[in-house]
Amino acid sequence: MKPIIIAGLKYFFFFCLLYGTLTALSLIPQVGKTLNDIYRRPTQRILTSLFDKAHLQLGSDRNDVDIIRVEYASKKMVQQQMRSAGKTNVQINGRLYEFSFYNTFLSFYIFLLVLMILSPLPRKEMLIGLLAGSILFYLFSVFRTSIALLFFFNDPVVDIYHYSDFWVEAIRKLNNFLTLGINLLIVLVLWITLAFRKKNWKKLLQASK
Amino acid sequence: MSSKKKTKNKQAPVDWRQSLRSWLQDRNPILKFLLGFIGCMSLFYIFYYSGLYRNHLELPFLNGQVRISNALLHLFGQATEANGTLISSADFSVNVKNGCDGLEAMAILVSGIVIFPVALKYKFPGIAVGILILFVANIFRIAGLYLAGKYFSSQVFDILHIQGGFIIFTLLSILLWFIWMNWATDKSQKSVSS
Repeated sequence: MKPIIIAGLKYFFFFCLLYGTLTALSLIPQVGKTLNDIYRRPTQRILTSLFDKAHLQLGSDRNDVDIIRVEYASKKMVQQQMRSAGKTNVQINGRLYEFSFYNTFLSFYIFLLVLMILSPLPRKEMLIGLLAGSILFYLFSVFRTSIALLFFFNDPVVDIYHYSDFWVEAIRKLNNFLTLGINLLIVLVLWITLAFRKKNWKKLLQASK
Repeated sequence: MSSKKKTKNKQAPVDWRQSLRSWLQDRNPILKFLLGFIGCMSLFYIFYYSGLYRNHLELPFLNGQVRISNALLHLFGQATEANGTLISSADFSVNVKNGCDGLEAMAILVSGIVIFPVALKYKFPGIAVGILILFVANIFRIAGLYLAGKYFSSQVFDILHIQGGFIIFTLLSILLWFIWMNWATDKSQKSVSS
């Protein structure tokens, strides 16, 4: 068998081993819950600062560590209710948007981690790459969630934002476009940008000799 | 004190520019490649989300994959039926939708081959063999998902659907691309030297 095919099979084996181990660890309920909590905290802050016209609350599902629940309501509507009730505190029923933490972030983040770890990089460069990749992929996942939320916030019933028909249609199309395949593509683009350079690119191509 | 500060302030932007320049130089061919790759993938997505594909090609392509996967399951002794995009039996059924068609992984491989700087005569075999391998692997993936759903829990099915079925399938496409790149550069260098 040609050396490159052996090298490919070896890489595939180590990838499956490392990816399988990390995925299995992430599926332990306590680990999944902790990671879900760690992800939600900064995301709540970012989304709250992005959507200043909405009340937002990110929570987890007691029975499913995969789920992130976003409860939201219009600040304007809440203030109107408070005024009409003559109170400074009112109980409101927010709307609910749920998304999969694993499909939005964790599974693909593990994919990026494993690709980076198995890349031929000096330790320092790998650590910098891992840090930059983690931040960039996290920001992309928040962007993806914020596009979905922005679409819901423009629903006339929800009445939080009132973008023009053109922009609502553009947001709807972008929301539909941001599929799991795009998550995968972003991971690949990040990996190529952070792990590949002139010398190791050539090294990979010369592996068959 | 003030003169020291001034010197520091003058040096800082020069260092930043130099490090950015060396970073870009080190990645120059990679960044060019990335731009080409993103361009090719954009063209693929324009086609993938177009009315032409969605209205006329998607269903026949999915139905074809379902029929072949169903035939494969029969070889494994499963009493399944193929109906449109559905593979079903009394015990379990899977509905094959867009995204399960393996086209994105094929597009990644084809984009990588198309933009790699090597003669066209080396690209065609790479594209043909790569697509064939990924198509066959996707048939096994669909049949495997049916078997996983039938014999294991829904959680196992979900994990295999995304992790095994999607991420590992994409990795297979990347590995095929690397194998082709090695083969193509080797061949082209041999033809230049002879």
